[in-house]
Amino acid sequence: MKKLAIIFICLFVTTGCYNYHDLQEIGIASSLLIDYDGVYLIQAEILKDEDMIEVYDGQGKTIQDALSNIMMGTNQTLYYAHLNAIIITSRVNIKEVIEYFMRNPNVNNNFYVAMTESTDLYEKENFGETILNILERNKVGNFYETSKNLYNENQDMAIPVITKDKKITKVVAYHNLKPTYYLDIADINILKMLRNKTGSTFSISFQDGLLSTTTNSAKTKISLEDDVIKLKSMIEVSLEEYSASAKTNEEEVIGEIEKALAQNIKEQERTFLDNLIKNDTDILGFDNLIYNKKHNVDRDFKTYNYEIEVTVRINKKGQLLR
Amino acid sequence: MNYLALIKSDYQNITDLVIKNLKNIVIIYFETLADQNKINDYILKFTTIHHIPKDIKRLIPSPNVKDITSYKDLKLYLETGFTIILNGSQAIAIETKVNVTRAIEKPTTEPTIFGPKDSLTENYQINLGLIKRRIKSHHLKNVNSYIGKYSKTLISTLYIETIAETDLVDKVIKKLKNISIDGINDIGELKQFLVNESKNVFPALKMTERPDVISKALLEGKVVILLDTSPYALIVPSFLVDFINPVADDYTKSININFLKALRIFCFFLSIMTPAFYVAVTTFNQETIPTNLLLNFQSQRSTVPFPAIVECLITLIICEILRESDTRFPSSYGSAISILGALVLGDAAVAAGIVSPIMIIVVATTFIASLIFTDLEIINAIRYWRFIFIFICAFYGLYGIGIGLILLFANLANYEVFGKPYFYPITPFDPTYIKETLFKMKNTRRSKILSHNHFKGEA
Repeated sequence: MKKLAIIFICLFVTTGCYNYHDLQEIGIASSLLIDYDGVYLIQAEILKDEDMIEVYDGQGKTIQDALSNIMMGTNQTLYYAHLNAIIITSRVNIKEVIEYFMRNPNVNNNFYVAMTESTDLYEKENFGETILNILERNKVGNFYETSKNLYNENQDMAIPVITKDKKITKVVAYHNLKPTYYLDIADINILKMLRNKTGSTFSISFQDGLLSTTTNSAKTKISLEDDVIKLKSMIEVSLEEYSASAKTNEEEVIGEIEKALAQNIKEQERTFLDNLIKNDTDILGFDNLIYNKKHNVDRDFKTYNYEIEVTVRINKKGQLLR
Repeated sequence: MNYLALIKSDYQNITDLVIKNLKNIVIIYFETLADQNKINDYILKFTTIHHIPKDIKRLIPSPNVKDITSYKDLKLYLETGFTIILNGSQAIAIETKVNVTRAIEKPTTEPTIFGPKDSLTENYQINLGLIKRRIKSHHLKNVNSYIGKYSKTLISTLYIETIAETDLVDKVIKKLKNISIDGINDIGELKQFLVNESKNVFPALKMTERPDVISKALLEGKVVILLDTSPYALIVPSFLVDFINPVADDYTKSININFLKALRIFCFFLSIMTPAFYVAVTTFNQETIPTNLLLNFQSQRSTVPFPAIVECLITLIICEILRESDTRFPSSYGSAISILGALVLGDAAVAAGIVSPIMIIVVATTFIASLIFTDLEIINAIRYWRFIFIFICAFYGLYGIGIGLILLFANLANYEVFGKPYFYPITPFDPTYIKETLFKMKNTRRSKILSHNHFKGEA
């Protein structure tokens, strides 16, 4: 009986039900748009129904102030557990945002962080879910991966830029927590391939026509030998579009296409690397590689030479050969 | 000893006692307990002879004639339907019990699709016969005694001497002998004397009406208690797994039944934890629900003025009332209660905004899962733990499920019935008994905890 009494006392007296929320009392945030103009200006997209959202905004000196002002005056508290995306503007210190949400125990790690140049993104539909779908499809790293990169001193992070018409046309690369370089579509294609993600498209002129391919698999090995950083990519692509007259059911033609594609990708890769070096942005983690290999932090990735090797193989199954 | 005088003195104001003086003998019986035809056939026919000898025992054609050595025996025989004949100094009892029992019928509380369809009746002789038809061995022993100061009900302890442990048998017989009670109506009343029921809500001893279950238990090394006037037998000892797995599993293909057995274990936890899980995820751990479902829950709950725990308790209590009334009411009214309950719970309560539709689904799932178990006692135990889990989860959320499970397992692992662990064969782990209960697999051995005779079928 004493044991039972102790259990019940512990149960009823020592617990405070601190995170008790009745369902009607929570405002489920689908996404947050954070801007900074002397004070934090935060818009929260609150789900009211599967197809209905309401946008609340709040401002404050800190993120916490702004967030607590959002639902002030309503009977609900802001609930982040179902957050799909946090969208920040270029004026926001990304570190402060990520650190705030890392400290918050009610936030999951699966939402995405994106950047925007517009502050009137929200319309009637669930924008957060749309962004989530776009970024998932584009295989962009989620909050967990973004925050991991934030604390990696030897690697810069890159986050996608969302336009008002819900597209990713750019990715912004950060160096020392400041946006330094905007990657365009061609750069995104190469970045995706170098990060071993599929779905990059490459189009080239071939003989008297054009051809277009999509990567089915990409494996890039980045290694450091002496003073040379080697990027060795093995790519398997599918031929999606072809308008040249040479017949693709001949092995020689396929070989030529593979060579031409490899050369094109190599050139694009070289331009991409030059841009990264020029803008002092190490989103591929070269410094990390150098540190691990040489334990030397005096030389950074810009001072090394680069050797690029690309092997392309066309997936010939299906329509190409008899 | 002048038995007649004693009887006349003790049985005053008893209207159905018949005392007949025929020539030089006295015939005594209760007309309500004795069969008139048997009295005619066994006794009255021989009284027509000219001279009745001093020893009349050899004249009586009855298969069951007993010598009376004491007045105590005489009273016992007389009150159990025997006819007493006093012939000078000789006193004998002739079995003339009237057959006041129903026919052997189908089991009502443990029905199965396959397997035997007979069940125990209120007659001890028939019940013993049903068991002996299944175990034709002189090793099947039964120790009889009478229980109840006034009822003097016959109680029998059955065991197979070459399988059952002597310690267990002795313990059962000793406990039965020590029972001091005025009268007993059903074997269910015995349970409180055999085990300390206040220690745990889970049923300690399995009650069964199926002779095949009894036969299986005896062959496993268990002890079975039969009581005259009760259509149920008690199996000692019983384990939790015995209540979850019906004997019908033995009559079905193992590969199919193992899926159902796994489903039953799942349902055991489902019926305990579903409402608690609902309370936890809707009040503490909303992050575990997919967003669209959460929005549905939110819109459904928006019309309900009570917190989730109150809503849950209201629905569960209404359901318990409904179930209890359905059990107690005559079956002809049962459907009316079901319709009324379905209307009250399924539609009106939702429309009135007392409970949300999801709560109805939660409670329906809980009750359907608990109905998988045929034993009413285990359903009651599940209900008890269901409320414990709800209260813990109302304070701790999903963390409470973990706390509740620890308490449940600690409680089960700590419980012993007749010195045998109740959570057996999980703790202590015994694959032999698991093959018999939790899963159906080929098994040639007996459980070590129940019998020292380990190999089945061995001479």
